[in-house]
Amino acid sequence: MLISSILIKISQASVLIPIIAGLLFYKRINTPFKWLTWFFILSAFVEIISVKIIHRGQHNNMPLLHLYTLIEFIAFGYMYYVYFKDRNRLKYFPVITLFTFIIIAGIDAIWINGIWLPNTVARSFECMVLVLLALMYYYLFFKESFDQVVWKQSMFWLSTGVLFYFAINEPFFMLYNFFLSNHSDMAKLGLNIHAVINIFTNILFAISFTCPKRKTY
Amino acid sequence: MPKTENILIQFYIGGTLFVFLLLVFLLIYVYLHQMKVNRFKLQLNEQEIKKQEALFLALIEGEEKERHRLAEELHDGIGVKLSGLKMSVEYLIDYYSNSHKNLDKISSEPHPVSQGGVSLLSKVAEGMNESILELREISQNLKPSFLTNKGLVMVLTELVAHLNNKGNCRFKLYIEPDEEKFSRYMQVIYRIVSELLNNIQKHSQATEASAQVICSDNIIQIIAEDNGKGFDEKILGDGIGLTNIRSRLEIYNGRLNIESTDHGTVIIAELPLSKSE
Repeated sequence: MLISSILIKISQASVLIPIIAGLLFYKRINTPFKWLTWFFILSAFVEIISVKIIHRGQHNNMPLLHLYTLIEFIAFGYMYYVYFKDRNRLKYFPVITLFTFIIIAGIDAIWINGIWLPNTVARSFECMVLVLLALMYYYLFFKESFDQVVWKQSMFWLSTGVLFYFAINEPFFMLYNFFLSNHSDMAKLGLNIHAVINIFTNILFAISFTCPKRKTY
Repeated sequence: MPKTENILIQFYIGGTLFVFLLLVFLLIYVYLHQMKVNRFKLQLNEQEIKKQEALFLALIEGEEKERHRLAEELHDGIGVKLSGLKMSVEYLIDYYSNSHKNLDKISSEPHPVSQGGVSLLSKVAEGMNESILELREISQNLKPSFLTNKGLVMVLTELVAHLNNKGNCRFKLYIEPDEEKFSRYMQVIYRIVSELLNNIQKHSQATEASAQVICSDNIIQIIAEDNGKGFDEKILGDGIGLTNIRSRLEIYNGRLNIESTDHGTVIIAELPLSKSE
């Protein structure tokens, strides 16, 4: 129990790792990564507010999660949009999925789960799209940039983080409501796994800030 | 626990593990792929370097053949003609000297070719002689074989002695006597040293200069120093034969370092020995 709560606290604090990296390398990184730094700063604020809400015990913090999911999707989707923008067909993919996501998130918040329950449908959709985008990045990178060193690419680390976080947590997000209402122990296990993956992912995101030079993306 | 719930839990645990393993495998694949790419790039680079080296060596070989041809032309063409002309002039000197003496005995009339004329002819013969010697020297130095015949130490010593006789600058030479160390690089060392020393003599207005050829573990250093007026590399550019030196060094991945002030110049040419040396 104690280990679990410590793990979750560390996971919550781990958002500071990419923030510190982003601010340290702020002058060196390019515009999309500057925006990503601001997204992580926003994430930290969301984390603080959600903790405060829980401590007050007045409401649950799920509406914030609904909003955060949308911001998260826009942030990562924007990174892939910039990466794919020179490709005729692919550049529309993040934009189309964003509009689809907004519709699905709306339906989820109003009709499926409601605003006071975790947005499992929207979150699952987000996971699928972002995993797909990360895999597309991998595919294109190895197809087209044969002569570049992969671990010097900021997008590689970002995509690896995206892939780890969203692919591993996808089943958890899908079944979260079910676990909450029927198997609290499974929900706790899921949260612990989520915490570990979250820490690991934040480290990967932090590495992505250390790689780029001004011109490369 | 109902069966469907059990399946869902199994799906969750199994799915998470499966995805995790899949990602680990993906990363391992990425890592191995990148290593393969790096190896391939390295191989490609090595091949490119080898190709360039071969090309440069072919160019050098062509240049040496051309030098050889030029040397033969000079020696067998202009050299022979100059020797013939010199003999004719010497004959004329002999002839007019003797006939001058004979005519002096029988006639008091002034001879058409005066004493002054004979001495002028002697000067022409002397000049021709010097030209022939110089031409022979140039022709000999142009031939690549003269290095292998005499050896680098001997050839450079002769070069320094020749330069010391020519001008006001006193040249000193220090070269490691063990020629075996740089036998493969004799040609390039000779060309660089002679270019640098000739530059000093022609342009530096130095009174003292030295050339050193030092061979350490894996590098040959050619150091030329003088106490002349120096030069500004930016202004002069590579117009005084430095381009030649640079391109020769580039073939062997060598480099040229120049430090020049109003009180003198130090030029260091570094020639890395190949691994097979």
